[in-house]
Amino acid sequence: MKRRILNIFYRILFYASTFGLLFITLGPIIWLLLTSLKPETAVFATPPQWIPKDVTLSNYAEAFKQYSVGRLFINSMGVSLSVVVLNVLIGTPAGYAFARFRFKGDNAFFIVLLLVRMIPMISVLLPLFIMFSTLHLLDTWLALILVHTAAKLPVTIWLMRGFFREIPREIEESAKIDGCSVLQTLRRVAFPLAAPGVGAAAIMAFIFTWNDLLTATILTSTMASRPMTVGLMNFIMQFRIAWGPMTAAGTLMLIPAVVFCLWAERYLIRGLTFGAVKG
Amino acid sequence: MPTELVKQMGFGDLKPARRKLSFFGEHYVPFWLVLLAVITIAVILIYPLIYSIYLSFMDMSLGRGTTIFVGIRNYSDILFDDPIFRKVLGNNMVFMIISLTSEFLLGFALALLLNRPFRGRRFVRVLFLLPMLAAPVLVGTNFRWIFNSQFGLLNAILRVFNLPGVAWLVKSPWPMASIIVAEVWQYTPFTTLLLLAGLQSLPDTPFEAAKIDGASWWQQFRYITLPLLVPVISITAILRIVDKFRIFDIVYVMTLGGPARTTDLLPTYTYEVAFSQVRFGYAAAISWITLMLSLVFLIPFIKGALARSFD
Repeated sequence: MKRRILNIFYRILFYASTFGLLFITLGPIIWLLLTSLKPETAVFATPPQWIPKDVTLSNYAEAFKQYSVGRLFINSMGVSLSVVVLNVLIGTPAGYAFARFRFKGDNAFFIVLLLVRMIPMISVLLPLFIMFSTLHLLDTWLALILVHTAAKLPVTIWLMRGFFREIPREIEESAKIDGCSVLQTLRRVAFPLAAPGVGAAAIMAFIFTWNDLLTATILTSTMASRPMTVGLMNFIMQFRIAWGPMTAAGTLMLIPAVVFCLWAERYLIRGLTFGAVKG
Repeated sequence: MPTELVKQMGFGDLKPARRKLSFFGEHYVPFWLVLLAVITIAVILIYPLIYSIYLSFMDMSLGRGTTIFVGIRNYSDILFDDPIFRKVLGNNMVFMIISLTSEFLLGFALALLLNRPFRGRRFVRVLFLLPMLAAPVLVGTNFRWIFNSQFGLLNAILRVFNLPGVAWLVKSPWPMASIIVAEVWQYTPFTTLLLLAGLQSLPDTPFEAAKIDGASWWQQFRYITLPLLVPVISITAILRIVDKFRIFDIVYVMTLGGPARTTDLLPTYTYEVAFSQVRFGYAAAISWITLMLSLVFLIPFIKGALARSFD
């Protein structure tokens, strides 16, 4: 009898803590979303309204009209998608090479890859700023795409190498017997089988590019190439902060990341934990 | 002749293996595969890295006009003559220790919670990941809104309980606490994820044996779970420590290092030196000292990270 009560108690404790932690985890995000839907008077109401009485899209309209959120979104999306494509194109063959071949300098290069992942971006961005400045490439999509692609390549190669290693060699060997060259084997056999790896790498590359601030702040200056992360600061002006439209822009920023997460959660988790834990 | 025989047997297409290796031959395939990656990383990351080392020994600043060689003067100035650097370093240490401990304690608790199967667990796990997917700059502005003295959510909740509102971003020691809260909120899911993956990879047998021997939950945790998790904990610690020396967005947006530099951290200070004071050489030196410091804090965890589990 006592055991029963204890069990029920633990159960309640468990669900209570889970809900409590969920509330703390999601609370700020929900607050962001709710604030973005409130008219301006409600945004600044004290005491604050929890659930908005009037739901309005005026913040979104203002964000698009006054603060060019549309352009910011396009910049972010264009750069991020390009980075994903380039990473897959460049990182996949490299990962395959590390997985399947032993060649001179492969260990050295792999260690370099790991070390590169650890450098603080600011060290690299100072010279890059100077370099791009002399090349007149500041404030362009190209500069952002190049830097972000290079920065994400180590992770992409690491992930692809891991995924390729998990494919049984026999499948590739039989492809070779059937007459496939290395590239053909890669394209027709290994790549489709490593699709989850591509998914994981793509998500990682996208999210870390989409969310970046420092690189973009240093390398962009006008709306020509400014992404949404930097654009968020447009809402902070000298004497006031346009909280309403800012939360609207923030919600818009969150949507692609959330969509990715819900759709490809398995790949996302694989991407984040790969290398840290086996299996 | 061998080739005649070979043709007769129906293998007429076979040619003897070529001795000479050309650039397009099979031996060089892996080099071609990695070529683009190597070029990209070398040009965009490695070359600037080396250039930045070179910069750190130079004085390239607006005040001077031309770039001149100053040897290790930047480094010695930073370490011995820069009170701001010392203050910023202290801030970074405090920030790192408190946020790291919190992330691990909370992360572990969450991982243990999520380790038991229950209905909707996968959905809940996805929800817990959400903070990590938000841009740090967004997390920073969002928390700046929540911590707002007048209109912020936190003070509103306090007022409901008749407690006075607090100037979270202005009155010390709260600004440091505020950025720590933002950082822990955002990155605890990461530690949770890694620790959970570690927990789920643990074998069952030691636990079963311990249960038969009558070990309590705490004993199992202390003598089986923790030792087996040392590699995962070490790797997670390394990844998080490295990040504590790179945090920029949240601080930049929430407090900009204020008030009076109480929340200024190494990356924000580096940024200010580089782009507000326009002293690139000095800033480069700071960034390298930052890197070396992060390596120092990594060292205790490397041994644990390299150890692999027993299977």
